[in-house]
Formats: sequence, structure tokens, C-alpha cells
Amino acid sequence: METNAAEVSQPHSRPAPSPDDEPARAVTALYEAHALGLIRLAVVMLGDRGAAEDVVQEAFCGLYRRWHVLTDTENAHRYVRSSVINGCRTLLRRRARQHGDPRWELLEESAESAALVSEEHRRVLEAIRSLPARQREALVLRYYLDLDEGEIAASMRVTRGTVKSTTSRALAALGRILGEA
Amino acid sequence: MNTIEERVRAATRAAGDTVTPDSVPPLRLPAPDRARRRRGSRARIRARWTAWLAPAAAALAVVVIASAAVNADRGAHAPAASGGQRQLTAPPGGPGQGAKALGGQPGFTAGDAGGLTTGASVGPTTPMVPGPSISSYVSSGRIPPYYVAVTSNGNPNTHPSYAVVRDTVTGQTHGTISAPGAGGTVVAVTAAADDRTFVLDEQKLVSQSGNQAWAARWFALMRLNSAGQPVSLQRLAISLPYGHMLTGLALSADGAKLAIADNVVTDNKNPNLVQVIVYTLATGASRTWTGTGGIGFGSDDARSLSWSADGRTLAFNWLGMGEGHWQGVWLLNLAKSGGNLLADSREAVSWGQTKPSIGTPTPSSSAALSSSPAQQALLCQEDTLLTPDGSLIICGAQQVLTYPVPGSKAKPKSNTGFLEYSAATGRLVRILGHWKFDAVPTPELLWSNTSGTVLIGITGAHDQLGVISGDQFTPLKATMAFYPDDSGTW
Repeated sequence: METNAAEVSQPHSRPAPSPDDEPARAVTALYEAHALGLIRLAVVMLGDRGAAEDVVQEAFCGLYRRWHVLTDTENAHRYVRSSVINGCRTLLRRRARQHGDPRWELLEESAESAALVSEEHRRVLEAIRSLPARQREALVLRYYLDLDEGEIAASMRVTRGTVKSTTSRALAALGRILGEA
Repeated sequence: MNTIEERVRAATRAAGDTVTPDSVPPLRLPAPDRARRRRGSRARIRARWTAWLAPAAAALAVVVIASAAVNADRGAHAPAASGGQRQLTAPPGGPGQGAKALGGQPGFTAGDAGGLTTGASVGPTTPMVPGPSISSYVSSGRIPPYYVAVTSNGNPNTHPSYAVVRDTVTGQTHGTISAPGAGGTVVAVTAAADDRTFVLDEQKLVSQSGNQAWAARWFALMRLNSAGQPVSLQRLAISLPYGHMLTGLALSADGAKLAIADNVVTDNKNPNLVQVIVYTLATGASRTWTGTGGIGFGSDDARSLSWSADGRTLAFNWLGMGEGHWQGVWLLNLAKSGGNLLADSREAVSWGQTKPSIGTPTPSSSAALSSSPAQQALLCQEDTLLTPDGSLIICGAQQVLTYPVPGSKAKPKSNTGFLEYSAATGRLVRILGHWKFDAVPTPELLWSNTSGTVLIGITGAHDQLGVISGDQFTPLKATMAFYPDDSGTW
């Protein structure tokens, strides 16, 4: 069954927020509604379950800290999704700077997860993770989250034309890597 | 939906589905008192800016700013300058060689070229040789002594970013410059050739529900003295209202003109309308060229435009929206009077034909495309620039040699280099830093001297910032920001 990664609801155990802590209740409710989808998104982006959970936790903590200045709490889930994407981007760049190319390090760390997907999927995922970060991000937003061009452009802070070109070039590169060109 | 798209969708879904609903960890919110402390800290920071920074003045009016905003110090740990105000004056200028990288486009595939350029064979790699010291580069005038980076105390989505002037040799901070306005954040910077004149691109930090990339922008002219300390900050009479995405900015070599690339993202009827606007800073006058396509990669891309030193040519990355050669570097002839961007420009280097719609790439038939990854040529990556003498277009390039077998512990291997193409013919004429690594780094180009013989960029297995000359590399003592992504502007 296909599910939208950012829209899956999932109840789970957690410490109950203080009765007078309205932000905690609201953020916790958002977490219950969107955590699964966002962790999945981060796993796709990073290939590392632990790092994905950390990125999502930090995104919700950031939302909590800023709750009092939110002007549009109805769109808080969009904000936290952007935070997760930014967090993944930052982590990948940091690892690249500190440890060399991050893509292969992450693949090694995610061996357990890799065992759960087929060889065909692993091959495609490795190819995706070998792309430049922006191309990889565009592909994940387009084909995993099913965002439209405008949403991707807003999320990546690029123009719609750039979304088209980046995605197109990413697909062309994948074709070469996977031997479909 | 083609096969590649189906495979991408299926593979990413499979990866996501490895996270089962019952495995989601509980949320660990910080204690409320911790959150309150952070809010208090943030409020204090904003209040401090408000106290320090004077409101914007009229065009090119010299503003009086609190000395604490231009916090000139002589080292990262030196105490801030004392309070009080001082009148800031224009500093002396001087000749320089700097060029700003243009680009920000990942996967620039020189090997995709069907026409002017290809991922031509460039021969075997050479060993990386240690180069002269950075101090000798600076003392001999081969690279500029100062650079400006954009950084932030925390996540720049929630913390304002600011500019930092650093010493190229030592990496020490000469001064920090906050955006001259309450709640302002510096998002990009561009430099003139004298290494003393910079323009800051500033915005107000938007809330979570807004789009920072679409927010209104202002620009401020910053000058350094001969010691590299910021001595003036002038709000320019140049601004972009909400709904405009700035996809490029470049200060001319003489610091007299500012070029920007502007995409009106809220114009749904013309979503790909791009304007190149060249402002004369002294008068505020402007000229505008328009086209349908894209320039630069993302918002506030300070490397998507570059000037020739004589101010006659402005290079821009072009993503065409029609058929034909639609990715490449074009050269705008500023002597032309018309407002049609492409009609007044010529394509100098092309990176191939690709039908610009998602899912339907139509790559060229070049050998690089049809070959296996191990046989691919060096492919231009994110950054390209026009050398100040206008003779060369340079990009950082990557050639992946080995992809590990799925599940193996093998490491990838790649070649990297900085490709230099003739701006006149589009032919590859030289390669610098042609090295082999047991990794797949992404070379990035930040600066070039007049003739492209000395570069500053990021390369190496660990993405190190340094000076490249021939096969020599000298690392820089620099603290690179990860996000905002601005390693330095020279």
C-alpha cells in the first residue's frame, strides 16, 4: 500500500505534557500525526535511521521552542517538514565537510535497513544517493512526497524552472548510472 | 511515467517503509524552562540589534551606525569595540583580480554537451602537490587578503545570519556585520575586485509560515579599510519587494554597478520570467533585460553571475525553457541597448540539449552519456565563473570512476578537476587540480584570478577549501559555514 510519507498518523507512547503547557500538547499532537512520515522522509534522504530520528526530533523541538511566535499554527506541519528537509541537508553537508563524501558512510551505517529492501531498490537508492545533494533532494520531494513543482520550489528555495531542470538532470544521471540511458 | 521514475518511486517507498509504525520513538521535548531561556536569549539578541543599528538612510547616504554593529576586532577572541557612534567614510580602493563564481547548479554535465563542449578526455590525473603557503600567495598579491562569509549563531532558519570579514591567511575575524535593520538577516554577499568593497543582500527573517526566499530584500554597500576592517555600511536605494526570488547577484569589478537576476515567483502567468537588472550605485539608475528561463540555482545565489573586469560583459548561467541548447553560460553584452536578454547575449558554453520537463529527459548522444559510469568524462558540477579578463569560463568537475557493488564495503573512486573553457570558442583549454580520490567529492569554485591560473575552491576527499594552481593545492584556514552555504566571497 502506498502512503504519503508526511501524512501518516501514528499513535505512540510518550510522556504526557503538562496540563498547562499548551505548546507541548499541540506539538505532541503534530508529532503523533506526522512523525512516522517525517522519519521515513529523513531515512530516504539520509539512509540512516538514527540520524533520521535525530533530525525529526530536533525539528519538533525547534517547533516547540518557536511555538509562541508562530503566526499560522495551521501550517505548522509544513514548517516542521521544511525543518526536517533542512536538517537533512545540513547533516549531509556537515558530514561531507568533516568526513569526506557522506553517501557511502551512510550506506554502511544503514546495513540493517538495507537488508529490508530488495537489491533492485538498493541499487536505485545508492544511485540516488550518489547524486549531488540538490538533485537527490528534488527527486525525493517529487517522487517520494509527491510534491508539485511549486511546493518543491518553495521547499528548496529555488525557482520552478530550476526544479524542472534539476529533476530532469537527476533522472538523466540516474539513467546513466543504472544503465538506462 | 518512464521506467526511471517508477524505479525511483518504488525504491524510495521501500526505503521509507523500513520504518514501521510501531518503531517511532517518543517525542523528547525540552523542558519548558529551557525553551523559555532560549526565547529570552533570542529576544535579547533582537533588542541588541535594534539598539545598535540605525535606520536606513537615503540612497548612498553615508549612514551612522553604532560601532558595535560593525564590530571590528583583531581576532576571534578580542573584545568588541567600545560603544558610541562614529561617522563612517569611504575607504581607499585598489586594483584587484577577484572574480565571483557563478553557478550553484548541481550536475552541470559537460559530458552531456552535444555541441560546443564535451567531457573531453583530459589525460591522466596528476598527484596533488603541496603549493606555496597562503601567506606567500597573499603577500605576492596572487590572492586577496580578506574574504567575507555569511554565518549564523545557530539554525539560520530561526537565527539571523550575519557577515563576517576574515583574514585569508590566518582565518581570524576582522569584523562582524549584522543586517542594518531590526530583525534583518544577511543572506548573501558579493565582492568587487578591490577586495575592499562588498554588497550585502539582506532580508527580514520570516516566520515559519512564510517563505524566506520570497521575502523582500535590501542591499547594503560595505567597505573595508586597508587593514580589512569594516568602516562603512551604506543602505542602497535598491530593493526587491515580496514575491521576487533573487537568483543571482554580482558586484562589478570596480564596485560601481550591481547586477541581479530576479524571478517573479508570484507571477503565475509568467513563472519563468527572469529579469537581469544592472544598477548604477551612484545614481540608482537601472537597465533591465528579460527572458524566459532560469538563472542560477537557488535564492540569493551569489555565484550565478560574474562580470568581466572591464564591465562590458556579464556572464550568467542559463536554463532555457525551450528546445535546443538550454543549459549553458551566456555572455550579456552590456553595450547593447535592447531589453531582450538572449538577443543581447551570446552562448559561450553549452551543456547540452535536454527537454525541460520532468520525467522526459532527452539527453544528447555524446559518448559520456552512453558510457558506463567508470567511463564518464569529467562533468561540471555546481560552480562556473567568467575570469575577469573575459577569456575563460571555469567550472569544478567530477568524474566518478567506481561505484561500489550494492552491499559491499568498497569505497568509490573519482577524478576531480577544474575545467577551463575558452569563452570565445567554448573549447576546453586547460584543467587545474586534476586529481584522483577514494571518494566522490564535489568540487566548488569560489574565486579565480584574472587569467584563471590561480583558483580558490573546495576539493579533495574531505571537501577542503584551498588555493589551486596547476597541480598544487594549499589548504586555507577557514571555518566554512554549512548553512547558510557560503564558504567565502573574495
